[in-house]
Amino acid sequence: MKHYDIVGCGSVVRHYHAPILRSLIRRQAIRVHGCYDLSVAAAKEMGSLLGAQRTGTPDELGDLSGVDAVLIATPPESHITFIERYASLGKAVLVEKPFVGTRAEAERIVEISRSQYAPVLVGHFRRYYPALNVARGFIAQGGLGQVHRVEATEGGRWSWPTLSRYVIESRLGGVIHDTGSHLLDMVLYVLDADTGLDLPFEIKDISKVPDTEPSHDCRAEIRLGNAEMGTVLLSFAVSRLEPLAGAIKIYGDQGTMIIPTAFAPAPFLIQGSEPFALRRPGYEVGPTDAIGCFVLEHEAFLNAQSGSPSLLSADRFVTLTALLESLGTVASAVA
Amino acid sequence: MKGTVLLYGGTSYVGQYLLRSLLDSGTRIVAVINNPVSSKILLGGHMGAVELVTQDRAVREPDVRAIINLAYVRTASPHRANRENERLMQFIHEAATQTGCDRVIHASTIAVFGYEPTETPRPVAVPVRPGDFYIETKTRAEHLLVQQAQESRYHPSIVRLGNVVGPGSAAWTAGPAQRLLEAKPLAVAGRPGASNATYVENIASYLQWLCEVPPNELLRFGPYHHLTEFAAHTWDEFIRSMEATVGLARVTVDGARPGGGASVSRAIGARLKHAYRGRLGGYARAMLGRLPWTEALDAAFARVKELDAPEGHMAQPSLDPDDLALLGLLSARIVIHPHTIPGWTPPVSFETALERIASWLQESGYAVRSSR
Repeated sequence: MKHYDIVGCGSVVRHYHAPILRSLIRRQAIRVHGCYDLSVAAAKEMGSLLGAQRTGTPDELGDLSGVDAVLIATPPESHITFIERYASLGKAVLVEKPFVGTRAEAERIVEISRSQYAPVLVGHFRRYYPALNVARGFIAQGGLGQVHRVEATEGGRWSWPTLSRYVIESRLGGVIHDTGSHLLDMVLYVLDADTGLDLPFEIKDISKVPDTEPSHDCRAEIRLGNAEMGTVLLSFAVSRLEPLAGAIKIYGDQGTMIIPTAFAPAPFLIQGSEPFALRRPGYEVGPTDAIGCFVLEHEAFLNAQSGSPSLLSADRFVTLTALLESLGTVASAVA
Repeated sequence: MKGTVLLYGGTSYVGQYLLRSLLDSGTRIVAVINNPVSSKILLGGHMGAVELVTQDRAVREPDVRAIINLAYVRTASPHRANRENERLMQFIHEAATQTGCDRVIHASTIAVFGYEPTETPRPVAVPVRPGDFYIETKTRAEHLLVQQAQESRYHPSIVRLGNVVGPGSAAWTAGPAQRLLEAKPLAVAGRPGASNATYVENIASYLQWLCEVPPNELLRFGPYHHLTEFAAHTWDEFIRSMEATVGLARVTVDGARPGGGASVSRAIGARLKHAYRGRLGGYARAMLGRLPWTEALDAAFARVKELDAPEGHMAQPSLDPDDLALLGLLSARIVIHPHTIPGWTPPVSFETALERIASWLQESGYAVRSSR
């Protein structure tokens, strides 16, 4: 049985992780050692829900010798501190997205993870969306021919009833690191461009509202790849100010594929005039909604602690982090 | 426009258009906020031009010409909804009485008549229909406002908005366009559907106009307004325009399916078949064989075979409750005619509205280009 710490007990843990953690506790796969949050009340409430032995603020983590793994769901700026704290002691880490703030930090974590044999996973649960995986397989087999352009958009008028000010004050609290990290990760994953550490990219054009981080609307044109490996032009838009199409559209020589950014069982392929759903045989086995993908994320975390490789391993998010860092750093203008 | 407009719900979709319209006319706007994070994100572009205040300051504002309420209870858990609704309407009432403002303009919805009204709605009070959270809270808010106003000196104008279309409208523009992208059902065959639509800039114009109408005219007209200037246009017209922009055709479902009659008959046939194949099939055959009316049974079985229609063996797009609810709205038969104070003309025509929506769909990633 693994002993978990939970650092950060806000709404994402309460709504999404806690029900799965409780199921793992019932299965006696895990036990929760400690729950920590800047709000002592939130830590106590979560501690009570999950039967934790200890609760407190993140300053009170104390001796970690009885802990095997940690779930980190704090505001993004503090991810690096807590990942380092646990991973350097060989503890397994599952950290909410966005991973960390800079490419250098991401590379440092990957190195610690390797040297300390500490699996570090990032909670990009959308990687388990069936539509995304069907599309990825189809593209890898050349079903679209040469891919030359991708349009990725996602947006909605802000309606999250949070009172936490990090979304309006933190440089990692804007839409780029929030919705954008999900969307860009889907793009890199579907193109199988997430595994190498050195995918070249160039931001050709960018506009943001407001102009500085945290921004709430961002549109960018990005060139992925280079002349040697081939290039894909990525048109990227995310917004908290208005709805945008929730879709990744992939244009290839032999057709167009549309992948909904919300959970969907299948992508849509357009070869000719009519779109049709591209279902994988046996698609009925697997997650039926986004919560099912969270379940798979936790299963992957448990398996990673037994040495199994994972789609969510930190080394697969270095390029993503570098891209997000650049988008967050560059001001509105032609780069 | 002279005086101040006190605005509740300024962060809403309609709110952003109303703010722009009021600012263009030089009106001083005080937006009453209850979530500083949402306000910073959604009103950030107007910071400086719009004053943001909390309720305790709102009631002390001088020279308030009108109070406009676009806010409504959306996220409260069911056991808190009525209390939250009462709290919101109490805030508005207090603001009106304490500032001495002579009018409250309250945005409501034609959904107070139900999603699929069976007769033409009239501009009168409607009873609360328990069951649907949105309809119930909106109707209760109307009742609360009318009750409160009866004991006060301000006049309530309840503007029941049609289905709000426009660039960035989540429900009636982005939603249908997203369904085109995802090949989800978007029409019922043979039922073009009364849109009962209103365009967002026209809403802003009407609400602003109501701020300026003389009080006796408001009183003469009565409290209920229906803003559905595009009501006579069908959903089919809107969706045809979206199809042209998005580059994909809608999925249409058979008119019989939403009612479910054919599916039910087919289900009975399937049950009978299953019973015959199962362990009890032998007993059933023995029992029925003893009955005298063999011909009648033959006819019944033939009917079952007829019900086992060939299309039942083809996979159909699955219709979940949300699909069914939307398809019901998109195939509405009742037109809810506009009921607005004479003298106001919608500044945006239907054709212009379609053009602006098309342009927004293009910019917002809904259009599928050629793969070449």
